[in-house]
Amino acid sequence: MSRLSTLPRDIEPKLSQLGALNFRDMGGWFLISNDWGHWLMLEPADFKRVMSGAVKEGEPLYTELAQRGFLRERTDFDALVKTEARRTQFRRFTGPSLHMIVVTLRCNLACHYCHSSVVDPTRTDTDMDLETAKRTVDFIFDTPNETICIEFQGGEPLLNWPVVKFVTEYAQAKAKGTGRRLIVTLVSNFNLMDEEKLDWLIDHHVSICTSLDGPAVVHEANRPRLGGGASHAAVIKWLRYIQKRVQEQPERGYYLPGALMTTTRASLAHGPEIVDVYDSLGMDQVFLRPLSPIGYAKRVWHDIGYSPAEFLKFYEDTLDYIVDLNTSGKSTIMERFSTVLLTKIVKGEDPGFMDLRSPAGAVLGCIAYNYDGNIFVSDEGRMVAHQGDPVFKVGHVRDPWESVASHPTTRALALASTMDSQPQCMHCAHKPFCGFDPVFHYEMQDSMTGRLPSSPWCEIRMGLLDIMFKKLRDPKTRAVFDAWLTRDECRWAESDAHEPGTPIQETAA
Amino acid sequence: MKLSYDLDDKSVEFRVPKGTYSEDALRLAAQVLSRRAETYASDEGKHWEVVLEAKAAKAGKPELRALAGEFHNELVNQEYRFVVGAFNRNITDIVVTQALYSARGDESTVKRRDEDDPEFKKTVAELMKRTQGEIERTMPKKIADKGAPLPAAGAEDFNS
Amino acid sequence: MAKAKKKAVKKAVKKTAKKPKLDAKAGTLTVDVDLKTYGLEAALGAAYLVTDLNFVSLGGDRKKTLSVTLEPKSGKATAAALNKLAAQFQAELDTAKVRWEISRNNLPVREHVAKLAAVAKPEAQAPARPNETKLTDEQQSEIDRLIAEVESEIAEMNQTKAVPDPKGIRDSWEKKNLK
Repeated sequence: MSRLSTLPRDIEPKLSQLGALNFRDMGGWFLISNDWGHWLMLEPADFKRVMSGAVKEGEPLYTELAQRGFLRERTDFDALVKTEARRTQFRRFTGPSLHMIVVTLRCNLACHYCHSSVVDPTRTDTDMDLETAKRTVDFIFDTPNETICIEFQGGEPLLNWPVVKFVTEYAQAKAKGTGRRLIVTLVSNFNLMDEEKLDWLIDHHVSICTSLDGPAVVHEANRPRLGGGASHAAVIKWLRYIQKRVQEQPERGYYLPGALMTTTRASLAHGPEIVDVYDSLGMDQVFLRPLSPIGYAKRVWHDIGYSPAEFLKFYEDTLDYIVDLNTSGKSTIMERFSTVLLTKIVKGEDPGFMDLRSPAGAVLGCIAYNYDGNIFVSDEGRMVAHQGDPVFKVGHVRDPWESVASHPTTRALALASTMDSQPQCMHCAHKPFCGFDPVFHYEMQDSMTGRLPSSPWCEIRMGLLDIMFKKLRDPKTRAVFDAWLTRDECRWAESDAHEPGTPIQETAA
Repeated sequence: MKLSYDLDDKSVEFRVPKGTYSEDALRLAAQVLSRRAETYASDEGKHWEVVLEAKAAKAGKPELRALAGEFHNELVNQEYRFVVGAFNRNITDIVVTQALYSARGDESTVKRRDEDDPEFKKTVAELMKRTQGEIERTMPKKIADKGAPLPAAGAEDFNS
Repeated sequence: MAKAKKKAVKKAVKKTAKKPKLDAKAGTLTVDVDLKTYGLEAALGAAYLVTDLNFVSLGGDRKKTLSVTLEPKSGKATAAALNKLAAQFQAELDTAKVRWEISRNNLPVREHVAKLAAVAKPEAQAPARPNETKLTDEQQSEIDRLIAEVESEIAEMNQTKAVPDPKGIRDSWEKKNLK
């Protein structure tokens, strides 16, 4: 059987009553959904009645179907338009808000899954020079979005510390002059962090994120130091220290540090331990992300990779563990991928996750700048170029924004990632909650538009959404999910109370 | 699939009927498989005679069968994509146009800084001078060729 | 009555469905799909969906009968496996027909909503409120202060040609969903 469900043989379809809907056999019950994000869970008998046009006006099921746009004769266009406009509000955004700047390819680690195709620390030819850095910031401020988030990536950005500082200060000066809202973030492995750098980052309100793959046994397996040696201890040490500094000086309004994990084969047997490490550090969430076989990771996939089924088992088991921690009161830690998907499913809103937008956020929502000033549709697109194929390059920082925005590759990606143009997605019940990544499919299937029946991307996302909907049927899990969604909104509301990206003025004692 | 193999040439040959498949699908399938095979197609009236020459160093019958099979699957993929694309064309046009047009913005959405403001120019010049000095003082001067010796294990600071 | 209906449905299906051709030696299954019954979209759709596990080649013409040949990727299949595949493909075909009929019936609605949504005025956003029963008075007043700050910022944004807040602060979902 294919990845899309087939209709049970005992159903005689009578479709004239039905509005636009897709259905999915969830094993014992059915899910129906439509383009506008409305959905219903149906017992087999009710599903049969829906598909055979046997639901009569006056029944509770008829009302539920009508309210969600599943009945043609009761289509409320105003309500559907309002729902759709809210759900797809990101299509109105004027340009990218997330700008990822790779300030160097040099790194002091040799992570097995690194997308960045890093080079050894002596290769200063891969450092972003000052002129390119200035031109990059100028380009960023020529993009039209009122909000600019600059994220330093690498290699290890601290290896080009002077340029990190320059870009931050220059961007802050430009933001002040133009009234733009600026957020600056640094992604670092922490192995080169010191007090002086941390003081500067706090003074300049640069938020920090690191990679933490879990307990030392997993982290070291994935992320050894270049030339050998451990990297885990430095991560833990600096995470705790930065948290302490934040908590001891709340008046500075500085951010708690964040951490992200990457799932590799080494992670699969350690789900609960990974969660425990994050929980012990007081992290409010852990993000169980699948690894994409792009760039260097593709070459070593046979060593570090896994099948979609293996990842989905890891994910569901670990999510169950997290939910148990919440229901037992032992922790309130959230799982990030769940909150992203639930924001779409339960709240009908865009969670700001580029890969789950239609069209995807490549260029339109986020953009990647290489150390040499070349601009790419995304960090993954930059990795493809590093392997020798520049297909995802859309310009250079000396080009005007308009040429990047209207570049043929930008347009091709927008078209390829629009779910309505995708054959399998068109009839999938998960369509309104899912997304498509042209870069992934180009790397895996030699085609930006992909071949979804055999796409691992599709298999994983379909599996994740199946898991989400199944979990939503359990009242205890639903209560946990509801609490996460509420907390997630509060986090955004509270972070907006500060004015990020501007230097902290020291208050008089 | 009726396949003919030439194992010496690492190639497989088959027919693609014109009444079933379009030339566009044929070209796109050839493009998609271009990393793995060279595609040759000759117009034989009611069908194309297609030859796939594997690029891999070794390609026996199973590999060539798989290549031909993936080519056929890509033909089906493209033909169906045309159908879906045409069906949803209006919606896709609206979505893509809105997203691209919004993202592009216009002059009025970009607040430009007055780059000639003397105060700002002075700030930037100072900042660049300070940064350049720091780069010269603190960053490694030598650019290593490939194969340069790696830093010793446990070395803390690569900036000294 | 139900039994008679079942028989009639079976007869109708029998009339339209031609027997698939199994070639156990070659390991292939060929189904001639009547396009008057199923439509080209459904035929191509079913063929497309089974390309995960099968090599699929097409023949025939695109107006009358599309000949779909399936060859399991794993290698030569037994007669039993091919029979099972034939039943699976038939189910995909029948389901694809239903899906495409729903799609055709509702395309005008989807297009209409898409057009109007594209030009709809963005909603004014209000920030979320947490579950109030669990907050102390101090926490509540702090949240109220933060919300008021965000609300005034949003109001200011909406007066200019600014885009909605990319962090997605919205109307409280409790307000929308709690009854």
